[in-house]
Amino acid sequence: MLIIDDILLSPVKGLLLVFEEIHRAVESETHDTASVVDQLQELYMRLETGKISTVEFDLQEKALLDRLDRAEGQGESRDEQSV
Amino acid sequence: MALALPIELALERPLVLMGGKGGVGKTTLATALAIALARAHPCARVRLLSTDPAHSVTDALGDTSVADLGCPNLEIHELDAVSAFVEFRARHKEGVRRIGLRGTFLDDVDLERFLDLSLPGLDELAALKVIAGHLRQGTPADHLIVDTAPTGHTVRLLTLPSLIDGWRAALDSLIAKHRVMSRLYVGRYLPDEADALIAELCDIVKTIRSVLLDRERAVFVPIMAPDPLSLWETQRLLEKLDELGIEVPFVVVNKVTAPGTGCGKCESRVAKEAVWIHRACAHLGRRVKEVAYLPVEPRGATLLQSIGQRLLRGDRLVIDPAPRSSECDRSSDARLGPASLAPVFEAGRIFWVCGKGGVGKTTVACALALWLARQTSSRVLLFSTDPAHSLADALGTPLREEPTPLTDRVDGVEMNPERLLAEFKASYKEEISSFFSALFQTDQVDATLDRKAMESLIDLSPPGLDEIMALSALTQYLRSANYGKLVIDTAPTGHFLRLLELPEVLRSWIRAIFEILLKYKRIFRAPRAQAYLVGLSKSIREIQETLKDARSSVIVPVSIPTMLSVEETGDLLQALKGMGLHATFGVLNHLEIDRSDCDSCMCRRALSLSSIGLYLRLFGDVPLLEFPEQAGPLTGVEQLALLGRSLFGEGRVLVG
Repeated sequence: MLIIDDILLSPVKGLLLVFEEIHRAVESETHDTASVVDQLQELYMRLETGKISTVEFDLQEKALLDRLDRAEGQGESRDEQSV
Repeated sequence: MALALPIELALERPLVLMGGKGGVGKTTLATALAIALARAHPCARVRLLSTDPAHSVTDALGDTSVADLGCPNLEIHELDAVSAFVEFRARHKEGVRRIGLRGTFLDDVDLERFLDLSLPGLDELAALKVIAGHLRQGTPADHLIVDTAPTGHTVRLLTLPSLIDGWRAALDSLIAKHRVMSRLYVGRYLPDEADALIAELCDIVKTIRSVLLDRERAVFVPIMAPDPLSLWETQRLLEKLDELGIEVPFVVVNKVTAPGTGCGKCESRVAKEAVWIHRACAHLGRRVKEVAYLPVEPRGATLLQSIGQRLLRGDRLVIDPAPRSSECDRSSDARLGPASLAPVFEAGRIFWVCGKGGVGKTTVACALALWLARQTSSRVLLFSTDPAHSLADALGTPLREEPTPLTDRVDGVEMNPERLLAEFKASYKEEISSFFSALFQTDQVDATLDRKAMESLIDLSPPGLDEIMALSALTQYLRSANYGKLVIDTAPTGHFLRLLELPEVLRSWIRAIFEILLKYKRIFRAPRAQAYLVGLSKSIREIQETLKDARSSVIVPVSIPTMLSVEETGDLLQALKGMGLHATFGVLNHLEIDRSDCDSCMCRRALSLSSIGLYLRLFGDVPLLEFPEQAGPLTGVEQLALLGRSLFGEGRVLVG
C-alpha cells in the first residue's frame, strides 16, 4: 500500500514546490515589524528544537531586537509625517 | 429510578463503580466489597480495578498479600496507566503513521516525532481501555468493581467515550479519501493497521456504553462523608450521572459517628453529622446507607471482609474501638512557633496545597490565601486545578471564571476548561481553517472529504483538558502583575503529579509542532497560532523555572491522621523527589490531641499520635504544621480567615 500512498500523495507534495516559490516572492517584499517579530519567533523555535545553541540565540536575538527597534522607529516617524 | 432494588442485588451487578469525593473511603469500601463478593461467590471471578493514579488498594490490605486472602477467584489490578498507554501506542504506531501519511501532508520524518510522545489525560484513556478489556473477557456471572479516582476525574472518565468517538470519527475521515481513491484506481480497498486502530477505538466505546448504560449490568455507588462539602459534591456528581443515564440505586454515607457514647464531643459530632445525613436523604433522591466511622485504621483482610459483609447485608456497621495505647504518646518538646515559616510565606510565589483526597486541601488553601494577604503586602489569587471544584462551596460565595474578589486583596477563580477550549478554538478556527483550505483546494479528487476531515479535527477536544487549561491559566496569572502570590488548591495526589509532569509533556508536543512549522515555513503560514505557541512555550519554561526554585514554589502536602494518608504523603514526596522537587512544609490536619474519657475520642487521639510519629519517622526533614480537629466544617470567608490566623499565626510547627 505504500507505493499507492506515494502515488496518491504526489499532487499534494507537488504543491509544496509551488508554495515555496510564492513564499520567496512574498518574503522579498516584506521587511516590516511583523517580519522581524516572525523571525524572532522562528529563532526561538530553532532554540527550542535544539537547532541552535543559547549563545547563538542570544547573538541573533540581539541583532533582531535592534532591527525591531529601528523598524518601529521608522513606522512611528511615517505615522507622524502622515498626521 | 430503581428505588426498590435491594442493595445486595445492586452490589452484585457485573460492573460496580464506587466513587465520590477524595477521602470518603472509596478504596476501603471497594476492597471490602470485592473480598466479600469473592467469598460469597467462589465460582465467579471477582476483579477489583483501581483507576486512581494514586493507588491505595495494596495499602488498604496492609500486611496481607492478595494470595493470602484465601480467595483464588479474586484478582486485584492497580492500573499502571503509563504501561497500558505505551502498550497501546506500540500496537497502533503503524496505524497512526498510516493515517498521518494518508490524511495529512506530513511525511514519515514528521510523523515519527509525534509517534513516541506521551499524552496528557492518559490515566482516563488507559482506565477506559482496561475496563473495556475486562468487560469483554468476563462472563455475565463475573464481577468487576472499580475503585475510581476522586469525582472530577471520574466524571472525565465517564464522559470519555464521547470524546474517543470523536477521535475515531476524525481518524476515520482522515483516511476516507484514501479508501475512495483506492477503490477508484485499484478497484478494491484492503483494511490494514489504520483500520485496526479505528476498529479498536470503536470497540472500546461500544463495549463501555453497552454495559455502563445497562441498568441491569452496571451501577455507580457514590460514597460521601457526613459533611457539607462532601454532600454538595455528591449532589453535582449525581446530576452528571443522571445526565449520562448511569444507574445509581443508593448513596453510601461513610464515617458516621456512632451515637450513645455519652461523650459531649462525640454527641456534638453526631448532631452535626445528622444534619448532613438528613439533607442527603432529603435532597439526593436516593436511599442512603450509613456506614459507621471506624475507630481503627481500616486495613487488613479480616476487617475489610467484615466491612464488605455488612455492606452486602445492609447492616449498620459498628466496629469496636481499638485498645487504648499510651506508647505512642510523645512529648511536645520539638514543637516550634510558625514564625519560622514567615520567610517562606514572604518569598513564595506559587503555593501548591496538595495531598490525598479529603484531607482538607481546599480549606487549608483558603485559610492560607487569606493569611498570606494579611501577613504580606501581596495581592493573592486563590485558584483550583481540581475539575471537581469546591472552592466556592468552602468560601460560601459563587466564583466565576474570571477572578472574583473575596476580600480587598484576595481573588478566587474556578475555571471552566470546556469554555476556555471553545474560546481558543473560536479564536484560531479561521486561521486553521484557511490554512487547511489553501492546502486542499487545488486537489480536485474529493474536497468534501478533506473538509470533513479538517472540521472533525478542529472540533476535537484533547485528553487531559483540565490539566492543560489549568497550566495555561497558571502561566497567564503568573505573568500577570496583578498578583504577587498564587495559592493553588490542587486535584488529589495522582492528578496533581500529572499536572507537574504536564509542562514537559506539552513542551515535547510544542517542540514537535515547531519542527513542522520550521520545515514547512515556506509553504504555509499561521502567524497567530505560531505566536501563541511560542508564547505558550516561553510561559511553560517560566513555570518550570519557578517550580525548580524552592523559594518561589512552595509545596505543601496535607495529610490526615491515618496510616494510609501518611503513607500516601510518603509516595507523593518520593514522586516529587523524582522530579527534582521538594515539599516545603507539611500539614497534618484534623488532629485529635486532647485526652478524654471517651473510648472513641481516645482512639482518634491514638491514631493522631501514631500518625505524627510515623510522619516524623518517615520524613522528619520536612517541617510539619500540626492542625487540630475543628469543632465542625468551617465555611465562609470570615471563618476561613480566622482559621488561617489560628493555623498559620498561632499553630504549632513540629520539626523532627
